[in-house]
Amino acid sequence: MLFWPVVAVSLAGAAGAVFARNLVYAALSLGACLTGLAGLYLFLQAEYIAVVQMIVYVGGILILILFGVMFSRDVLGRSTPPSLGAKILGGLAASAVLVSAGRLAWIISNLPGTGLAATRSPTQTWEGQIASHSQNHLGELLLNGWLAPFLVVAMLLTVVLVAALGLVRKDAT
Amino acid sequence: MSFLPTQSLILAGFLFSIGLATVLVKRNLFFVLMGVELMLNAANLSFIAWSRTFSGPVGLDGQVAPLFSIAVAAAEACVGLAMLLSVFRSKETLDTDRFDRMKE
Amino acid sequence: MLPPVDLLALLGPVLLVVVGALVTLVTEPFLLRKDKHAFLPWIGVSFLAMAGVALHFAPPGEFGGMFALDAWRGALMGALFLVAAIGLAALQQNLRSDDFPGGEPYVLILLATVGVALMLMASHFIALFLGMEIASLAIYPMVGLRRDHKGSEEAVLKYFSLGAVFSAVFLLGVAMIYGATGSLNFASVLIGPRLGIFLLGYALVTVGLLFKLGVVPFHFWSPDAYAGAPSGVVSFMAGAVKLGAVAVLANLWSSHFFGFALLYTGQTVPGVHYPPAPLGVSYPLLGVGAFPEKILVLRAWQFVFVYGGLASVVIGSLALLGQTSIRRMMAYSGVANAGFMALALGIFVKHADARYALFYVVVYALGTTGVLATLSALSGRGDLQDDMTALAGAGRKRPLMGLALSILLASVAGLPFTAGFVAKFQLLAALFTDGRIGIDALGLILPQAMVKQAGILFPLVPVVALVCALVSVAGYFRLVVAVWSEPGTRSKEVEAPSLLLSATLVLAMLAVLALAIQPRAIGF
Repeated sequence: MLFWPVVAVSLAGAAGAVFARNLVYAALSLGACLTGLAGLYLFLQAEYIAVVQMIVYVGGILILILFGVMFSRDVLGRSTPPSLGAKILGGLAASAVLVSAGRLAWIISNLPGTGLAATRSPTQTWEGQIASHSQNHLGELLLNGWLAPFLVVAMLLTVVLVAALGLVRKDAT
Repeated sequence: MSFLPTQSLILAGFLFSIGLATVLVKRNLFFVLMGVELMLNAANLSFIAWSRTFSGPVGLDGQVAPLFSIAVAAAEACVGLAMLLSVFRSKETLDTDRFDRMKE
Repeated sequence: MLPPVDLLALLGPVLLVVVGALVTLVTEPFLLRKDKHAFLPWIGVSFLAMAGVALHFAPPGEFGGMFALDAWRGALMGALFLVAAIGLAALQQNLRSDDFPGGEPYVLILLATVGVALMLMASHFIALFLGMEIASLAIYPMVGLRRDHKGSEEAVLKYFSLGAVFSAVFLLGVAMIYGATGSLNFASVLIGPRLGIFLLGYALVTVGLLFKLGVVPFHFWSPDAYAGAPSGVVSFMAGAVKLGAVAVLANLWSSHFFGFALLYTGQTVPGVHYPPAPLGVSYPLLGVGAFPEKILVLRAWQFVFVYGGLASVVIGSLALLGQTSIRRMMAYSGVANAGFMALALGIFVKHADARYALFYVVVYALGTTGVLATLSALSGRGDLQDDMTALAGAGRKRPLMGLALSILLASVAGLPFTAGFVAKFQLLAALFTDGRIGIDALGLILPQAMVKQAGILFPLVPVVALVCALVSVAGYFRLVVAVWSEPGTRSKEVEAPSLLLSATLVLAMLAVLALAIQPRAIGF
């Protein structure tokens, strides 16, 4: 039963990313969270996404963030302590989202055929429904139904290239 | 483990609210960026969790969408960090509260 | 329903703009600094013109339920190309007077045009998301173009962090809609009992789009972002982003809720074509009939659009009166006009007829882009003369710019003989004949008996909107008076506008006057 440890790692990582005072530690615990999520994707039988998550998120984006942190020399994340207003606003917004998440959970668990309601009836399981046609079909799908967005991603990458180059160009005057 | 989608969706809700709280409370721009990454991950997780509740090819759409969203997240992080570095070079700080001169 | 067509034929105009961006990118390093600003915008504009021609010949149709093109999408895209050309010319004026070292802003503005064009064509949530991100990621660096100016960094950081948060909110909404319908296509059908999930997703998606539109309460970013960005960039984003956002909201309404309403009520409205369940089709942007009226969810969104729109109209119109910076004034004018568009979408919810919103956004985009483009010529190096007193007499020195500013501002304000008047008149007339729209929407939060009582307030919504529109004219009038008045002591020499800027502004003026004479020239 590795499921719950994986969930715990993700949650703890997310919390660590928020509450850490040192930016490097925050980025590292974000990495723990992302790795935990990759593990969760394995449980959800999305193996390909799990691999992509490890390569792109943990191997790419996280390293990028760490690099940025080191480069900016603002490693300690000096920041003015949040004002009371910001704390209240943040707390309110987060609890509003949490309440709606709870409500969501309640809705899901009462859906017939999904969620907790399903676990009570042994005849209905999700096992094997996706697995039979998962990874091979993903590639097929990308080049058939999803061809147009796949092309658009190329444009996205061009934009990022030009935008990043323009931003870090040295001579600003 | 037939109850996985439910648990994953609840976890996604938690991650999303943690990310949102980070963005709202923390004033350092790196934390803002990490909060946004958490929120995008929550969205990816809910895509995949929902995809497990469908059978047949419909369920696969939910596995393709996160691929695109990961590409977008990488793009956003790249542009965001380039922006942060260029700002840092001229200001030596990333504290959003020190950029508040313009309020009128 | 639109017929399927070849991907290349469908995306042809957009691909031409991509090619234009790449040609600009490749040419840039081979030019001297001063030649860059003389030459690069012309490449972009010529490719935009080619794209416009290609658009004229592009077949209406859709590809794989991802992207679609029809009469209204074509009209919006034509307006977008004109907005992009004006934006390029205004940016040229800015960068030339700043003696900016690089040419990559021209590439970025073309790529942002591509992103908005993809938003207009999208009929699939992930395609839409990619288009939105292409547009935003190209606009962020342009907002922070002037690194040495105070305010520029705050503008770009605020805009980036808010934009990133709202795009994450949008994506979570998409995930929820996927969970509730099993499809990422706009035209999809709700699965049995997952109504709550669907509503949550729809609320999140709408919030993400209302942020792009800048409707109250999601308007707070726009004055700061506008005031910190170069006037040429503001000119482009004020028009283009609103074009994209309104088109997407109209498109969502016209395709999404049919299937949803059908499944939820189990009843069809006679004469309405409902999409077959569940996947892979695109619908014309204009909508294809009436919605079943008594649905709570429709009323909820009607409430958001009508009262959010009304609040924007009031706040924007009043706030623009007190501004001295022209860019801030146009930001609040954008809030007020976004409110009118939201009201038009509120009507759309009832009648499934988006033409008021679509016509309004085309006219508004041309007007506001043109006004801010003249500002780029009049306000000089670094937009330092961007206030009422410094601009005094600028119109006498540069009559063409003064004329363009006056006519296009009149169109934004909605004065007669301009297309802006037609747009506002159509909308207010529809609101008056349908005055109960606000009362109906109140039914969401008030018990039925009180709603009947509230019927006394029958024409409240359109009257408030009309009064605000008239009040805001005073604010615009101040600017026009300042531009044509006797030059003051603070006013400086005004540099000559480039040929490209003059030409594109003349085109915009002609378009605004022509649409006043023949409003049905587009889309119908």
